[in-house]
Amino acid sequence: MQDATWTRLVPAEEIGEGEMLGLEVGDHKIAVYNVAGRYHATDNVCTHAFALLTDGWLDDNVIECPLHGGQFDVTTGKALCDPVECDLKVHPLRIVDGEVEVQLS
Amino acid sequence: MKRHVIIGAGPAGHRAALTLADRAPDDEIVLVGAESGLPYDRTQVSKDLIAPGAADPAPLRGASDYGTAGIVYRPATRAAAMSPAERTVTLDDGTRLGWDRLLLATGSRPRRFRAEGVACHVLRRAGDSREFASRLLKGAHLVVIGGGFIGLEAAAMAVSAGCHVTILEREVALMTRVLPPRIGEVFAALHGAHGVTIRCGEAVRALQPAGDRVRVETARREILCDVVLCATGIVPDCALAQAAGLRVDNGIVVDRQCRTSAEGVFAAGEVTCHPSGPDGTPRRIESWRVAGDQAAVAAANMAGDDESYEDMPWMWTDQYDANLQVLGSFTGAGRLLLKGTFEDRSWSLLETDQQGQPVAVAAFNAGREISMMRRLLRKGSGSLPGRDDGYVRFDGAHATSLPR
Repeated sequence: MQDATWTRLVPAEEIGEGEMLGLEVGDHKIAVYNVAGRYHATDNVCTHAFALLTDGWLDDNVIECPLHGGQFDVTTGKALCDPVECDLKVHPLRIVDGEVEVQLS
Repeated sequence: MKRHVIIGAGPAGHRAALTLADRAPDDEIVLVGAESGLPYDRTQVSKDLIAPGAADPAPLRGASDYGTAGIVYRPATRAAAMSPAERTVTLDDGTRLGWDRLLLATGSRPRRFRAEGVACHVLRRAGDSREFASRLLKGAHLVVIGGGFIGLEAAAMAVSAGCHVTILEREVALMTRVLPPRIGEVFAALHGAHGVTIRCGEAVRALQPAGDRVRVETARREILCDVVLCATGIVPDCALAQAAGLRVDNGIVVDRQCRTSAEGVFAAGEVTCHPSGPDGTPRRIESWRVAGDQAAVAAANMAGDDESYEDMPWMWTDQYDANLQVLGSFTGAGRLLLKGTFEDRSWSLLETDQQGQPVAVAAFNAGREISMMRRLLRKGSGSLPGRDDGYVRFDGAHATSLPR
């Protein structure tokens, strides 16, 4: 049974270790990351200027924005360096039957 | 308790103050800034701050909390003189401050075109942006003198605001100070597609008042326009250092630890000429990123650490919806490798030295390439990008079909 507040996104196996995937759910742009076998989801748009983070570079748990090099910890959403000033929204994520599900709010 | 005095509250001075507050929380930190408000994001001076109806810039992160961080901020104040021997600095309000460590982060001044009776705009401070933006009325004709990053960013904003824009660049292509001419041609095409007129190989000879308008004269033509922007570069603000006898040569000369020739005096940011990149060639770099990161190293060393600034210079420009990032310094002497084609939505151009080591990369809408290359160069990895990564030899980047 799928809880109504959870949205099923993609089979987990489609995102290998160290990889990420950008997805759209309605108007939401979501990024899903596989950091050493653990999955995390955040907004996919940088908080500094308009860019998709999944066009950037994922290094362990740090995503670097492709536009101006701002960095976020994808596990917490924390902004790590200039020029980003605002943290990134993190979405609750679970794996059910091998599928990635996120809770959007 | 030591006292650290920082002269200049741009990205370098701000970052140094925050770093010192973190590394030396018990020390006294004084930040002296020439402008009246809190430090703001200067990269927006030629971008969002000149958009129609732009708000005043927001303070940089941490600037609103200087007080709680123990940073004494003195806005609208300049340093008039300094003495390395006495370890003092005299401010223009007459205050004389003693210091244990001094940081010069005085940045640069825009070059100006002096012309009697003509208001020639520059873009360096938020106040410049406000004045310039107020003249960008729909249908107005703007002439931009200088086709570098600032001039091109301003042209993109002005044409988007409904102005007619002509760029006059004295060199054969745009942005030639830091980039191969072929990249300038890509940007000429980009601006051309948005309706901007680009005239390369045309230096401005004179500006004359013509009623409410301005007559701009080059060797080839006269242009009647409403607004003139001078975007012909900057000169480092070395006066204070020079008067105090510090070594100055295309900027205040510092080593990798950001030490000047005077004991206890450090310098960081755009005003410095510093060993740059792996080969340590002395360069003065005009980059927001370098200004901040180099200042963090300076501050750590002022607090008693021993850090070195080793990063490759890294900069970006945003024009329309295009983003260009440059890592390293193009020399024009190496071999060029291209990934993609210049007609593509994204491409990367790499210069390698005689040993095949990358010295610079320019990435057009391809920030990931910069992220990858930064890590590659930091590690000094042997696996350099080549054909397998989509790079192929390119011989045309230093050639140009201009002037036209």
